[in-house]
Amino acid sequence: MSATATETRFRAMGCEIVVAGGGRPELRAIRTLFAERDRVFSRFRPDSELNSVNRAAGSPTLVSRRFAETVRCALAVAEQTAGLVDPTVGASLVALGYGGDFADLGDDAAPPAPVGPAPGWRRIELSGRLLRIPPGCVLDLNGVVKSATVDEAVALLPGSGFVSAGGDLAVRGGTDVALPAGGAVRVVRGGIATTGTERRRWRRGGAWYHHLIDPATGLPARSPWREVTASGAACLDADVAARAALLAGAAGPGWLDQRGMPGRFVGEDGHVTVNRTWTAMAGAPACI
Amino acid sequence: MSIELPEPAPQRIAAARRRAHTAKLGLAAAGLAFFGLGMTLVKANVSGHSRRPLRPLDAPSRFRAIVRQDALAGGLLAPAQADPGATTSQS
Repeated sequence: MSATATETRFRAMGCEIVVAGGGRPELRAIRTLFAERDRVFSRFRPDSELNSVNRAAGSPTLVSRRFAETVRCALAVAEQTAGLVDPTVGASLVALGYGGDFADLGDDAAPPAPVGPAPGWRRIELSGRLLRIPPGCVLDLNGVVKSATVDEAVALLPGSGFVSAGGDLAVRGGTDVALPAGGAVRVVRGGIATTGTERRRWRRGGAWYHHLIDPATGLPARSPWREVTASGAACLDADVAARAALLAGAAGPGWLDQRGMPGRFVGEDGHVTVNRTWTAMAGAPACI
Repeated sequence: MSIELPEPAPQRIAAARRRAHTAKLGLAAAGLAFFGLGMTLVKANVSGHSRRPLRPLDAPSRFRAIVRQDALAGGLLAPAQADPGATTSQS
């Protein structure tokens, strides 16, 4: 862990965590929180509860209260996004080559295994703590766990500050945040998150693949946007909105406007577009 | 000295049993009527009792659908005021 007077940085969940504000007890609690969530929800740890659930696909499993709450949250997110952000796309990620820690992924000349549509979130059965996922399904809860942990962490800060996990950020007290492709914005309340197709990508059989899977095809989504930044009442809202807007393609800006969520879109050519809600709050982009 | 009481006539015993039975029925009917009248008055006058048939204590499905759709809420942004202290980027 490296620390400055105002920021503490450490690695968890495969990305860099930055905490600004808070004393030593809060920082220790936040670090423990990320480690605990990673231990339960990591796809890359054989002993994680997530992997034990995935191994038991097809059979009912009694899960921890935290796990059940997170699955419930993931199902709510899937419903709110009309299935765009679906927790059942894990099998596609594994088949396409993203089955281990991203840092360990290398190029592979062999083409990936064929994939099909995701089983779909509606096939997940959850009653209390009893969970059953369809046979062959691989749950991937990364779409909610990291940003929800950021929200929990920022709530531990005694005063103003922020917590960022790989660029997904929640603030207390307002923070000026640098944006992809230049520019900055002040996050007065809530969170901001960016998702995109450029960073978490890998090559299999000579073709590039990225981690944003279209549940309808099981393949990486084709979108006119390279990066989408959204702001939400919490980091979880922002992260979900950014993913859904990218997967929604050209309809992304309007999709966010319908929900009163500011969104900023970087096209494949680097052109920056913002939706009406972003313009009303923070103005038009300064550099296009 | 002992006094021999005459055995009551069977007809008198039967008549007494009929009167007791009738009295019990009367008391039960009066109790039911009193309870029914009391409940009617309570339902008509006490605000905690519904005058209409009860419906399940749940929001209409359309309302729930709207709430779910609106569950994602926007954050609050403003133009930047200083050099950025944080960065949002692809994770």
